[in-house]
Amino acid sequence: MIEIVIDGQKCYVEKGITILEAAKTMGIRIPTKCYHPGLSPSGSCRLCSVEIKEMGRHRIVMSCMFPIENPGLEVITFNERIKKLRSFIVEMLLLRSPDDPSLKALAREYGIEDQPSHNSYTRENKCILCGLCISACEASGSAALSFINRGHEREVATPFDEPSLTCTGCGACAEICPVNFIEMEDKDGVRFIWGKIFALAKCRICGKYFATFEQLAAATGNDEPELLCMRCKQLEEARIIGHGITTG
Amino acid sequence: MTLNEKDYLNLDRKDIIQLPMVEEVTIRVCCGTGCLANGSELVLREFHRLIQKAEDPLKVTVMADSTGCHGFCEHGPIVTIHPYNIFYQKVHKKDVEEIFEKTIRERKLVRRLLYTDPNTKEISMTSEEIPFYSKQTRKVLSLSGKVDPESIDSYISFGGYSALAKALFMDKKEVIEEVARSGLRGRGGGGFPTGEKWRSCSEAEDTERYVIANGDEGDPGAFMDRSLMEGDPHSIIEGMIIGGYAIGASRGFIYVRAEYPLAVKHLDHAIKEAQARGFLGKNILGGNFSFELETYRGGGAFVCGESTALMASIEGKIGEPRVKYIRSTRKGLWGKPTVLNNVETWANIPHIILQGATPFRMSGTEQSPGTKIFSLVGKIKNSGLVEVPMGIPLREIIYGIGGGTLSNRPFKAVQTGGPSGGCIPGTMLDLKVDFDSLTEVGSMMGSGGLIVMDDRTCMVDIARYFVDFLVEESCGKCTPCREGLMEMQNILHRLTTSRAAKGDVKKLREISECLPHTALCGLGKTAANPVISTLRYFPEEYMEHEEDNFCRAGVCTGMFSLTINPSRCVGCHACFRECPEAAIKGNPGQPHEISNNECILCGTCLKTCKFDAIVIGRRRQDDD
Repeated sequence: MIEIVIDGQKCYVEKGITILEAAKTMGIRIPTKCYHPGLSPSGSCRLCSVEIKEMGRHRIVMSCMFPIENPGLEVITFNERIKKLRSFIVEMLLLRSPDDPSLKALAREYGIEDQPSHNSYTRENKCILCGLCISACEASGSAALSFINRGHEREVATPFDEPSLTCTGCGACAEICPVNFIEMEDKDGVRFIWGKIFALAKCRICGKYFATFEQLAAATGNDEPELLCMRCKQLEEARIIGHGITTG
Repeated sequence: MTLNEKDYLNLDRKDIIQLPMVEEVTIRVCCGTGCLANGSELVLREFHRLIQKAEDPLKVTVMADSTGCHGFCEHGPIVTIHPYNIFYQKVHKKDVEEIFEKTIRERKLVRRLLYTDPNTKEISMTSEEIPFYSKQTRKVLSLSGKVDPESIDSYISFGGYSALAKALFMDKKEVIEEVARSGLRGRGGGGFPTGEKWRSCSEAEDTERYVIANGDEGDPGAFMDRSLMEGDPHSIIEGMIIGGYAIGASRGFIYVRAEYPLAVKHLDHAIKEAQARGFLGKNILGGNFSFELETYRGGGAFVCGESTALMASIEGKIGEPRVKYIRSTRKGLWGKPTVLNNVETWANIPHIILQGATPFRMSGTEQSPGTKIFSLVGKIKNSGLVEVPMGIPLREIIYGIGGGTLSNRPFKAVQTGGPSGGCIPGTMLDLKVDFDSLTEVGSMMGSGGLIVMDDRTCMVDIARYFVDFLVEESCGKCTPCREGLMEMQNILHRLTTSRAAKGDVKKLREISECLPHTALCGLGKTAANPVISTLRYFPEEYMEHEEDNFCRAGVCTGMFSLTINPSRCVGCHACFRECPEAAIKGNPGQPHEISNNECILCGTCLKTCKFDAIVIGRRRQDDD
């Protein structure tokens, strides 16, 4: 454990964890958009900036990626400078997704007025290119998504914009998207996502549609998996255990 | 045999000089990219043809070789004739026969192909007499233009690979210490001490290590690395083998832009030759050090010049930078300790090892020792590749070597360091050119591009040009670079097309203040530099664009008015002929006039007039 100072408070943290993780244990909130605790950080949204003082030098780093390695590190998670930089990032993100409630809340928090537009493109809500969907898809083992193109033309897409062969329709990408940009529709036992259509499996107990067959096969490694939704599976297991207790 | 005696150099005697008899004459034809584009390959072929078909046996043995870039690209194709050391410039196929007849057979000079100084009218016979060369300190470039880049024997004959042999007899630590003592700093722009980088990598835990040469030179107007790779590939390879030995790496990569096919060809060929000679491969020079080297072609992304993006590209991933809180010397290529240096840095290594750190420190400044190669371009008389000691005043480069601005208009600014660098105004001509001085004035060394601008350059338009380039080249990974640059581009386009909104310049300033602190990689962090530096030194031009719809340089279309000053106009009629709208009225010999109704403010007459008679003024309100 090493001793560092965050916002004037001394604390002991495990060597190698990030500033964001350390701040979280102390209940300090740092806004993020491209960060998810279960995935490795990419440092692409640049919202979580903090100021650090190391060997007498002040500098701005991204808290989601900066590893705490040396004792005596001083972190300032909020001051006028940080406020200015985060406001700038929020403003830039709003250019892409002006109607997103979470971004609008951040804008209010950072005192950004809704500027009618100093930009020339139309007010349309676009992906903020945080990359969480790609990381999530990669972590799930499908790796059906990737960034394509460069700079302002950057987009998230399946290979050649064709329905992906590896996509299992699990919907993790849509679930994790911070601005709800990814379109996924479940209707009459069928799921539409990334230009692909999946049949949904019905739970044999409650009768609800709960997952795609491809997702179940990928998750269980079994081509004919048991058709049991999460909730019913838990109840079932609880019943077995409970049965064991009463009879035993 | 020397011809450098004063008698021979006498201006009036150039015609009657009788060159001495020699047994062997070597003709070297520059086959660098600039000269090739001007037809030097045809010149070389013509020489070969004439040598072969010479009817009466020549009294001398004549050889014609291709060499790399001589640097004086403005005056290419360049042909040098040895041992006389004659420097012929702007040689075309049709001139070859005359050179052959006069110089080779009759041992006379072809006066019209010699260089004439545009300022002093002095004629030079050898390159040493030309101010462009005499004011340079060519060390890294010492062989470029002499050595045949496609022959390892040629390189060895000039002393090549002796530094490697010397290094292999030294302890690894000694090699690193020598480099550290030399004070060599990364020539790619960052200026990080090379010795320190090597030491840090050699102390890394992992023993699988790599060396990389960064030859992904993508700045507009820069061709230092290109000329070096094309003209003297072995010096880079030798430096890398020494570096590999010092840090304990067994594999290296030279990352070259795919747009440099000649560099790739020469490097690949040089690597093969070095392997055949035992400078590369297993047990180099019979010792127990083994090292493999290969070239890797980039895919055309500017951002891949950034070290982490470059490594991602070699790994086969998308060429995007990663956050660099852990240095590449600890976790670089494939997560292994890696030393990445610019090709120019590598080419310095053999010199340091062979001659020692102390002679290296003789040129340059205390903090930035050695020499630096610059590509001098823009509105300058002598465009080309120049090598000068660090700390040389800007004035010496621009006026001493460059010969001043084209058409002698007042010097306005120079952009250093490419799109990530900044503009240095004319008032700072005495600035010393080294890493720290340039950073202090808000620019940077970058890889070494120098773009010279005169008073007919609009600084807002220059910022727009570089931001356009960067928007195109931003990888789009991080928000500030992707969106912030786009916003800057929008504002700059409005400012330069009469569509400025109130507060545009303020907004531009705000974005440029945030970008350096929030962007992910070196490209984004420095992307605002062209805007920051022009805002700092030319704020009045920005305000004129925003508030008065006025471009004082006469560049931004429709944002100025043009009149002819009758006291300067000599009635040469040149503008009359060039004007696409026939808006200029007047008879030859009499002052002309511009008809405001017909003038479309394209600026053609501005470029045509040699008498500075066209006056740029503000537009009147009722012009619209």
